[in-house]
Amino acid sequence: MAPFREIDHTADLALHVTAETLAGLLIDAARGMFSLLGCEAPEGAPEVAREVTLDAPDAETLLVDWLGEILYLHEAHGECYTAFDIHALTPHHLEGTVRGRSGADSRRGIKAVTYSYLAVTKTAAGYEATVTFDV
Amino acid sequence: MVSIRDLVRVDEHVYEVPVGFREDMRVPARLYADEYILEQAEGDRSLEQLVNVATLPGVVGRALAMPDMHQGYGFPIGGVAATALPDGMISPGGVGYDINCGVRLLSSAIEAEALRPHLPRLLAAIDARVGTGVGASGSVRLKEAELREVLEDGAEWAIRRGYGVREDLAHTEEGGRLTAAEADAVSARAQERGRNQLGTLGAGNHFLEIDEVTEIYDEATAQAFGLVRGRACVWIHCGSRGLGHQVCTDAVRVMQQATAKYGIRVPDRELAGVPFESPEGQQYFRAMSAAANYAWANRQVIAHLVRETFAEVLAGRIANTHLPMVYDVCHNIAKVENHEVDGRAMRVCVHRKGATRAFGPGRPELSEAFRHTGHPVLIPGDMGTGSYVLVGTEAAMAETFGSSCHGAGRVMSRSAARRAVRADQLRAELESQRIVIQAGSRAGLVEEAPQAYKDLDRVVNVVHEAGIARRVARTRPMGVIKG
Repeated sequence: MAPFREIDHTADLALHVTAETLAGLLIDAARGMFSLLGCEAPEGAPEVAREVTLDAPDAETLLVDWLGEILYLHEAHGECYTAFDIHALTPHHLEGTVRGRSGADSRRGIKAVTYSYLAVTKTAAGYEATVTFDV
Repeated sequence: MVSIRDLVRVDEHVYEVPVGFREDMRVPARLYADEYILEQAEGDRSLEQLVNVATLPGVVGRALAMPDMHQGYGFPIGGVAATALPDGMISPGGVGYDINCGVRLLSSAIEAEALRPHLPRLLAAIDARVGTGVGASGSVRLKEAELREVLEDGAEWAIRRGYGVREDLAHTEEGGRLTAAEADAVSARAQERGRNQLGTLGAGNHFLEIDEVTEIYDEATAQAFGLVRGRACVWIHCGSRGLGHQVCTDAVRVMQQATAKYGIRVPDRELAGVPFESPEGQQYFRAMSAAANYAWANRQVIAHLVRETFAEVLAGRIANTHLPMVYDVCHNIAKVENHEVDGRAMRVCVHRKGATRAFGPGRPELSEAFRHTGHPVLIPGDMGTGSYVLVGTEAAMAETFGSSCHGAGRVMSRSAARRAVRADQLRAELESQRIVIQAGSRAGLVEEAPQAYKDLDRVVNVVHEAGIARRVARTRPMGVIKG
């Protein structure tokens, strides 16, 4: 199964994400979000790396915070991230690095990451979640 | 799970889920609809979301959904609910991420047909002047102290700086400023996002349109509003940009924990909220008000830039390029208002999530310009269909906390629209209707295709027949700018 796929949502955008581990779920959700953004940086644009450290009361909030932080960094710095590393992770704490290039252009904007019908669920194959984005 | 079969018909265009349908409902859930809109309601989870709203602590009267109802976050889009103060809940999910997303309409004395030959140049010039599209930054760059003034003074700040005339404020909901706003309630990150986005449209379903007034249904009210058949007008649809999105994101995050602190349980995490008078509730209300003020300042600046562009591009070609305000409404907001509920005067927090205020004649909140008629209710449609101007009514005050619909409402997902609609075909169809399109992206264009939306005529017919807003005029697009 593809790590993420867009699912129908009347007004906005939603992704269904699956992975073997929680870290994989967070990384694939980030890749999925950038797929929705349609983000591209020019060939040869400067490489960038940003550190992300988060604390959250539960896995769902951690996922929303992680995606929200990357979205903010993308918008604030005009950067497109293609590589996501998570160095430390519990359902309540995350330390990671996102890498990409500056000078990014996006096909679409995302206003926010929402909690709408969000559940990070453990399955036989690992983890899954559906995340909805306000556009 | 609720379905349309659980609805009880109360009146010709009014349906209700009775309060006993689910044991956590505190009030009935009421939907304004016809058979076509009921069918659409089965296509997503909006009806369930409406029932969820009826469970909120302090909710009074009825949880309401307008006929443009569709699935949102927490509240359905098109949702209205009032909670009794001081202890009733305030919920960011009842406002939305784009705080004070709203609409402004400008009229003109320009004959539409006289304007048509100039549209391509005019649209290109407006597009160059007003930041449109993803990540757009505006021509107005704010220092920190200036942004604080914008947050606290809203459209008044813009008028002081020369972006428009003082008369514009009398034609803006709340005079373009919520006095509860506090800049300190807005996070540093939200303020950072707002510094360079004033005077920008954004993307998604935001647009700027030059329309022709094509039908007048109420001559006297249209005249009072400055609308004349055959003349051009300008619609501006946008909100509080990244600043507002961040304010809501910050608040929803806080509410996730704060809800439990007050012993509140909600059926959906996006409905998380707190008592209005609580520290968290007041913090959100002040920040929301500040974001709303930013949006009003944004639309005021954009209107000014449009007015300047009209004057420059049409100089020597069209005699009178003046664009007076008709009105400016918000459709994502929470406001403290006085209403009568079950025969009692009550101070309530009215949440309008994709719903428009529709105050009728005689209301003290209205400026003198609209005290006699009620204020204009601006209902934008899709780029092929056009839009409506309605007027608020006394029935709306009695039945919907003075609220009406805000648009057509989507029926097709964005991914389905991308599969079903080709950009070149859509452009050709619109151009065959003599509509000039200036769009930032092909995907953005097809996702906003007319077929992605409900039939606006039917949506407006429901509110008109139900008496909660009355048709005044219809406009049809001549030129469209989409981000």
